[in-house]
Amino acid sequence: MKRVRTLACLCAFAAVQAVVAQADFKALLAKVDALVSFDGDFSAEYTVMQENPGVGTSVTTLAMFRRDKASKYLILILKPESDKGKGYLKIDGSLWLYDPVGRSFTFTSSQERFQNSNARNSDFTRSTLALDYDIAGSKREKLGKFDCWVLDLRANNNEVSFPKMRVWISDDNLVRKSEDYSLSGQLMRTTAIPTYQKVGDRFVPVDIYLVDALRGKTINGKFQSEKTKISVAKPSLAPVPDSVYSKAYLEKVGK
Amino acid sequence: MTARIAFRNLVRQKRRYGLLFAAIALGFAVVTLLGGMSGGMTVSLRRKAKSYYGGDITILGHNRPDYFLTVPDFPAIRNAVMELGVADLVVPRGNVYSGGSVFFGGAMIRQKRITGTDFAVEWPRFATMDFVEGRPDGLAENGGIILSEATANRLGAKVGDEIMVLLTSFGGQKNTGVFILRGIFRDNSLFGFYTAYCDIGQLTTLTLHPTGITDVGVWLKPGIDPAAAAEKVRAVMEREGLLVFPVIHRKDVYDLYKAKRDWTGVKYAILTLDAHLYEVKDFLDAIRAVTYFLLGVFVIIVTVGISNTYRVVVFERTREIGTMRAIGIQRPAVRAIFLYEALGLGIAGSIAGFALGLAALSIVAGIDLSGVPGFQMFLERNRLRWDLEPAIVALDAVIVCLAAVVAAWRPASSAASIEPADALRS
Repeated sequence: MKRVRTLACLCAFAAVQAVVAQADFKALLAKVDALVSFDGDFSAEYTVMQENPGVGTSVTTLAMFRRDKASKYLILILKPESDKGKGYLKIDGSLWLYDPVGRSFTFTSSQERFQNSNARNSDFTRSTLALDYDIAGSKREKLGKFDCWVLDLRANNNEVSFPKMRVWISDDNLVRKSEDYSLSGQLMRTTAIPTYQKVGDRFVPVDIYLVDALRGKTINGKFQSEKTKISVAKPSLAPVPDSVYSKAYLEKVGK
Repeated sequence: MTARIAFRNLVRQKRRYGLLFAAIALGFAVVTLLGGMSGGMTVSLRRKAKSYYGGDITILGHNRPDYFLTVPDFPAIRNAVMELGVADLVVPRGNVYSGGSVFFGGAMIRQKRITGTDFAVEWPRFATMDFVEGRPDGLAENGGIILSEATANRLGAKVGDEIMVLLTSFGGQKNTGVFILRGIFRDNSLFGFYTAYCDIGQLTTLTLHPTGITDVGVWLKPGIDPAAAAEKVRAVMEREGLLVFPVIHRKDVYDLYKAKRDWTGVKYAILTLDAHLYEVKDFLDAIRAVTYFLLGVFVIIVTVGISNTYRVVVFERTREIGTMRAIGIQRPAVRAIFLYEALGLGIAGSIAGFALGLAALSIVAGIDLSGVPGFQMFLERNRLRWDLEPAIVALDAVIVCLAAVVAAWRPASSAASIEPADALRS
């Protein structure tokens, strides 16, 4: 009887510990989200370099305008010439893709690939890790020069691009690496963010490296993955007119 | 006697009747060719569509208010339909309609549809597909996936390779699973180009669909009318206490029913193969209409040609007719000689035309037509198969012969009315 009581106490203690840990790590994720989100407008020039083994490298340059508080963003493609004027607009909870050739807007999803790269449309929006994921496991690990918390995350909704994630969060509360998994645990993609740049009191990655675990090509007997490098330049917190976050703006600049 | 005279006249006057004979033969050949082609196209299309949709009749369960396809009553439906005695097989299907992709060696191909099926039951039906590598008979024991040749070639995959399937689960999350490639089939039509088939149980572990079944396929026994069978299936399902739409023969009607959204729970839609093929069927019906139009034009030409020729023939053979009448041959017999001649012409022309049409069909069936855009759905092994219904061919021949007899009737009657004395004086 005494043993049973001890065991019950231990179980209860473990459960309480787990709840406390869950709350602690949720708070950690909230800090991570807050550090890379903006209260006002944020704009920058992104360069997406896509490397397809055996095919070649393509470069897409885009202008990004984000208003995180209102969950709005606009991406305007500047280069290459063939895609110039294309745009993505997130307003009222919907993500639109604008094609200047057909002058048409079509619905798209944040889970879709961005311009056939290894980036998802959701990679360009604000981070919502604390909102979208629950913590399934944690451990301490050294990642290069960074001491990190490694958190195993499980999505709590169906809107996210990947149902499972493992994130490496350095002690300065920035995500340094993440691995995206399918529901069955298949590694889909690895992301690395070695350096950040400070914009005001927030942070923006300098470069984001994405490696696709499934897509690539075997060359000389060695599998080479598709890779994407996203570089962020000219970050700014200057206010952006409301009219930028509109279909009319995309139509105007797409002409 | 009259028939023999008519036959002798036909043989003797080869030159005069040669042109008419050639016209009838050519016309009949064209009709045979078009009829054989459209028949073959229909057979090929329906065969492919049957594998794709799961038989002659498809039953889809529509759940509301949370809309999704599901069949929670599969055992009851299978038992009820089998008891009707019209079906050979009633099979479950679990379809992933969009968002499914297959990966191999770093290459990815999106699939229009990934279909989960019970291979233990359905594999003999898949054996009729054009397999270029592997066979479907091992699927029942081993699980796995079969891919189209187009997909396998683009992936660079061979039978035995591990194929990764990526799909969106029922809950909307990405899920992956590894399947062994068991077979590669050739089907460049819209039913096969980007379609993959795998074990329904294995697929359900990825889709996490509540029942794993989205459709039920009903393979009817040979000779059973699908429309009548569908009505029986509907009646028996209603007797089981299930909600069922009226039987659907057209896809647009199906869309209207679905849009009503006036039910809660699962309501079943019963679609015949014709409903699935509604748009394509229009195209085939158009080919058939062109065939009948050509047959009509051809009949008019034959009628006018024979009528005019026989007027000249009667005029030229007035003395011969007079002689026949003078030696005692009666008017009906004279008329019969000319009608027999026309009938003989029709029969001979039809037979020659049929042979010519068959030869043309054989030549067309030997040509690789895979390069013709939009034609792939009608091809088998990249070639057009032909299919002629004996009853239709016989009907065509009867129409041609009747047209010949009708056309010859008036000239034959005027020949029969010639007075022997007048004829011999002319």
